[in-house]
Amino acid sequence: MKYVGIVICLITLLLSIVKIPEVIAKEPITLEYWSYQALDKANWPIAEKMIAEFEKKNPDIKVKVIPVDWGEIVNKTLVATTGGNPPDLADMWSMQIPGWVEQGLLTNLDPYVKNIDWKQFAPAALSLTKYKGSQWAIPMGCDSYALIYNKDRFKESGLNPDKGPRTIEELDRFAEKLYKIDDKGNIVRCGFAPWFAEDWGWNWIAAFGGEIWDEKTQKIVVNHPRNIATLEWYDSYMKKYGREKMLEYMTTAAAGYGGRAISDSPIYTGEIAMFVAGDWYPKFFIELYRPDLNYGVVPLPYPPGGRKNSSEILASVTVIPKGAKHPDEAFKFLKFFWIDNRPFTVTAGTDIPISNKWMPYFKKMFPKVGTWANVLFSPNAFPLPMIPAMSLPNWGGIITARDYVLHGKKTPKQALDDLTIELQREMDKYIKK
Amino acid sequence: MTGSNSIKRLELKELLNGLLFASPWIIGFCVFGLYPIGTAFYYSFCNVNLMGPSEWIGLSNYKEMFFVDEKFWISLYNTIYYIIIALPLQTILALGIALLLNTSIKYRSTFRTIFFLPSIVPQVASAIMWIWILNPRYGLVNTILRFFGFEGLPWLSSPEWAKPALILMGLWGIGYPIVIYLAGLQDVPIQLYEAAELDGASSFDKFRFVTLPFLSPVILFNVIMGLIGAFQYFTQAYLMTGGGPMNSTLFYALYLYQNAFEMLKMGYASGMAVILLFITLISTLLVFRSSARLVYYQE
Repeated sequence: MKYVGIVICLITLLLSIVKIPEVIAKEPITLEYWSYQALDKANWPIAEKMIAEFEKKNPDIKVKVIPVDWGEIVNKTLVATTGGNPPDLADMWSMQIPGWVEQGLLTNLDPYVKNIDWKQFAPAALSLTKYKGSQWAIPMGCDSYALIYNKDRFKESGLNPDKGPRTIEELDRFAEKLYKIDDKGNIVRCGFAPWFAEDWGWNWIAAFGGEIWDEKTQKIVVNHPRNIATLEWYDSYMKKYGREKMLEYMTTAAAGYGGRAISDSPIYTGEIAMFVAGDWYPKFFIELYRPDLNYGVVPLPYPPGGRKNSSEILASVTVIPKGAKHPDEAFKFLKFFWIDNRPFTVTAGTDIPISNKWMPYFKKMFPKVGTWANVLFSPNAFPLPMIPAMSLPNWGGIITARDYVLHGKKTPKQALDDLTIELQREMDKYIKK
Repeated sequence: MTGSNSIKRLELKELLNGLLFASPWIIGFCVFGLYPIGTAFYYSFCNVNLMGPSEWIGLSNYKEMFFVDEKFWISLYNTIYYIIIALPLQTILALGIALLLNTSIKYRSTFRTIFFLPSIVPQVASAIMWIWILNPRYGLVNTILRFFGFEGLPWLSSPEWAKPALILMGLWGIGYPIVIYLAGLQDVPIQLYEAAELDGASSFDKFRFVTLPFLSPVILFNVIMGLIGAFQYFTQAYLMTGGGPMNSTLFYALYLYQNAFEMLKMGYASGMAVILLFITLISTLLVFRSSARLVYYQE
């Protein structure tokens, strides 16, 4: 009996010795990556294959992706970074970068990106990752906008369905033909109005040649004459078709600004014959809600002196928060996942490529999104300025300003002057520093 | 001498034991309650730097709030508008429904359950649902209005109707006050009703002279809870309108949130929180004082 105890001890010791080589061998580093891209369950398997390939090539690095909801990721990362326990990588949007850099929440990527050849990348995409001369994020994908028009309605109204409007003059003229007003002045069909359907406020200002921020004088120039001209053009639609009638149309038939998630929404039935749309429309909305929609796409029309093939550009980015435990390895993964290899979002068609390298593939696989891709790479693309004031709620305040004009509460000049004062006040705090 | 000493020692021992038992709560309150409130006070006088030392700027945040920031006053107005209209409406409606649910009708329990159900729907789910209910073209509310021959209203798309839309939504979820009033109604002595009837009192007289006085402490409780909650009104505005259109639903708590988490102006937001604390405190005190004459407490 007394030997049983000794035997048990010996067996236990033997087992523990067997484990020791494992411990002596290097522990793989685990990168923690908080991502909202991972919420895309349909396409994430493509990304998982890429991650597995990375882990094979780098046996000492493991990547753990934690899906975090869009609405939560910014705050969650903010709290984690401030608390000293950030993830190694986090998805974010370009708009956050200036404010976050000012608060010291991001790792400067300059030493890592020194040797990367950025020639193939859309300049607009790159500028959306830089602040005060340094690079603070890697771009994942960009948003651009264009004009979708209903080919059937064009044919009906005697317009050539293969020639979408290219100038504002054409746009206004086509719109007139496409409008249907009944004898009481009610709008039965809205040919076009600038604020349908994905009007985030700066698109038409970009096309009109407007400006937001003057880097040289460090001044907000939101009340630039061309911006005022843009909002006056908005207002001209209100005046031409009757503000009361148009507001009534917006709140009844158009349910706000167009309603994209219902199959018989006015933009799909052709009640609104031309509208502004983001690059995600074909795949995420039209395919789902109205796959039989017969539509054409043109870059946003522009007036004389405006910008051809322009739209506002925003980027979704990945950052390395300050205090991340393994920034070097994190960047290694970033380079593999978003720069050197075709991003899974491009493979899946959920984002337009920001590098020319993947354009041939993308245009072949997703021809419908070609126009948006061209806008992104256009020299006239209008990336929103990287200044902290742009994180003012309501898209830098432009949506509120636009609504004041549309509802007749302020003149375009008034609305933009007020917004300029508000934005400048925010910027002055940072400039003083 | 030794007697009183040992009594003092006993008292001390009991005090220490009591404190020991209460210590988890005391520590929790100090660490998670008092300390953050104190820090917020301190931060309201600073330009807060999240990853480094904060810069003391004295009253600058408050000066900006009161004299420069137009949205501060807009958000205060929106919140007070909501309180003045929603609170009385909710109180009257909840009380009325509770009275009805206190009568002896068939399927009373079923009705009580139905009226309570909305308040257990998660706030986020109900907010998304109400966006559709209030949709000007496809929504339930406008469909009903049109059925009765009225025109649909623009609800959340219009600066004039956005706040009434939210107030309407708030009236749907008054299950908790209803239940509390029901509980209070059970406490009213039945003999008083009988005595009143003998004296020839009408239903309205009974309500006014018997029910109301006995319910007054409960009403006071619900009004104060509603007041404190209304000052912090946030979730629905955040999810459904984002403060729009044109800042018509920019409530105080929402604006505070925007300053803190979207603009990263933590010091300014802390200042707003301090002001909110004082406003809520003063309002609650005012309600208490004015209630002294109106509330009847049974001995």
